[in-house]
Amino acid sequence: MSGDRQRWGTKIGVVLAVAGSAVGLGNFLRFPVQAGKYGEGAFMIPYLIALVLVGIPLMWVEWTAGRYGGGRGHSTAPGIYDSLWKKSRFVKYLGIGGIFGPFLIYMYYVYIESWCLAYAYYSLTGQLSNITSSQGFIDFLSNYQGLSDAGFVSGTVPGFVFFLITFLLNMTVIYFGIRGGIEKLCNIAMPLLLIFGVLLAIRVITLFAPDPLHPDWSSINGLGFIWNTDLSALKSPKVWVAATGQIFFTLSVGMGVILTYSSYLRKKDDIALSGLAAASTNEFAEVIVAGAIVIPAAFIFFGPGEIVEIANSGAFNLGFVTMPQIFNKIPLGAMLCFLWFFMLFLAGITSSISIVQPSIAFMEDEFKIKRQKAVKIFGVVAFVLCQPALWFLHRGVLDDLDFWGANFVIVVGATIEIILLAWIFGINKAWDELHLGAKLRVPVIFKFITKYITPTLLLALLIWFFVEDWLDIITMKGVPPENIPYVLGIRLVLVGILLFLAIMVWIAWKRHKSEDKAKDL
Amino acid sequence: MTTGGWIFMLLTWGIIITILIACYSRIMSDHDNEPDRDDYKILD
Repeated sequence: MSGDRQRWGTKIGVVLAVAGSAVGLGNFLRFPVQAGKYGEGAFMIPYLIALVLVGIPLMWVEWTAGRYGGGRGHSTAPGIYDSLWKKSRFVKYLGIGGIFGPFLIYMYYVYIESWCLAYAYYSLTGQLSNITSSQGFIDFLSNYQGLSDAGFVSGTVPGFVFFLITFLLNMTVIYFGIRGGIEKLCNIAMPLLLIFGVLLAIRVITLFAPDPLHPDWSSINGLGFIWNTDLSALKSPKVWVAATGQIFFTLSVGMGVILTYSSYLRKKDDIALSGLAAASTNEFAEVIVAGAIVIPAAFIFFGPGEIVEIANSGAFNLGFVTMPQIFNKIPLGAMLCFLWFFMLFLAGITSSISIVQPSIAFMEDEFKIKRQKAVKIFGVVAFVLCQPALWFLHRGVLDDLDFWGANFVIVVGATIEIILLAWIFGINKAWDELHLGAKLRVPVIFKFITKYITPTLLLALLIWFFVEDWLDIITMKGVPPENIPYVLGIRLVLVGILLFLAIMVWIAWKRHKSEDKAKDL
Repeated sequence: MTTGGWIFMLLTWGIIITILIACYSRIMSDHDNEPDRDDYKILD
């Protein structure tokens, strides 16, 4: 069954592809927002503890389960879960989240990715450097999104054109497959992204304190805002939850993408080493590169008083309003602004192609549809289902999709995944599977952490999220009455997709059964 | 930035960069990193 499967070309290729999936807009926009909100020494200690207790174990769990399932002809969660728990007839349905989650993230992520491409273009044409005020950048963004007509760009047309270009680029990469498309792109985009990031970080840090009126507003004190340790702030459970949440989002764990990518590995590829390499690449991009760009830059030009306010205004405001404003105040700002947005675009595209692959792999593996045809089917369906995020952005559709995709599905998915591997498949078997072909021996303490600590923390996180945040969002508390039909509409679409996937899994396994019977005869 | 902040930052950066270099140097030095010619034959 697995003889004609696609394979990665090189080990470095799979590491860069998984790292590319993990290094996304969240590294450069969400991390600084979280570090800024809970800043002044409160965020980094819980963040690093969560990385060791939740992030790294989950990363290894996904690589292990993915390769195991891949060896049995499955690249997506339904088939992989079914391989891990042969006795259960229903576990494959729990794996639907591994296709549903990435798909629904794609429904809005590719649109945000297209903003980055557009802003990179506007940086080069000088349209951004002409704007002088914060309000100017806010107006530019809302005009670009089609929410107002401030005269910067002509309504929704440019937004749609850049979306189309980005969408077609995504489909082209996927069309060429694992080795010819994804691996080739990541081999170029990832080093380029990191070089751009390091250049930006060096430029920001070497600004030191450019304003003689505020000698304390320096890049070094900006770093201090993140790294000075304030142990008293650690008493707040909210900081721990936020830090653990960030680890989730940054490593792309729980959504099923790593399962799919690692399913294309060979039986004796070193997944312990590759998993650690991908995670450390992501941490380099987030903690070192992003941590040295956004907060220090904002600190230099806005001072410590405004950092928390800027962070509270959200990731989009930080990325598309604050950052270009900062670049306008620096020599060669237009070029740096281009580097910033093009770097975000590269981070976006290496992530967005990874969230397409589970849907394609499901069609290839379970329905034997050829990749090129599967890409065409996905392209048509995804193009239609991306439209609500474009046209009803102001109605809260994008925020609702983000909640279900990037919050709910991944936390629930990761909890299911780790319980399945560590408790049902068995931690000893999983440990052996992780070390199959591995030259790197994982410290034995991680066996204990993976079986007891990580699942406990995930369950605690799930309960906390549910009680503190999710209940209000699920019941649409705070949604303006005029937006309710749109939010409800998109939720019905999501339920429809979920039901459709459940039926597809049912049909696929029915076909597998009859194929097996035919073989026996 | 306080002395504690400097130590914490440099220690974290150091650990991340050391792990990163160690992982990539092991991956790059592995001869398995070369593309598998047989796989190309199958695909061709």
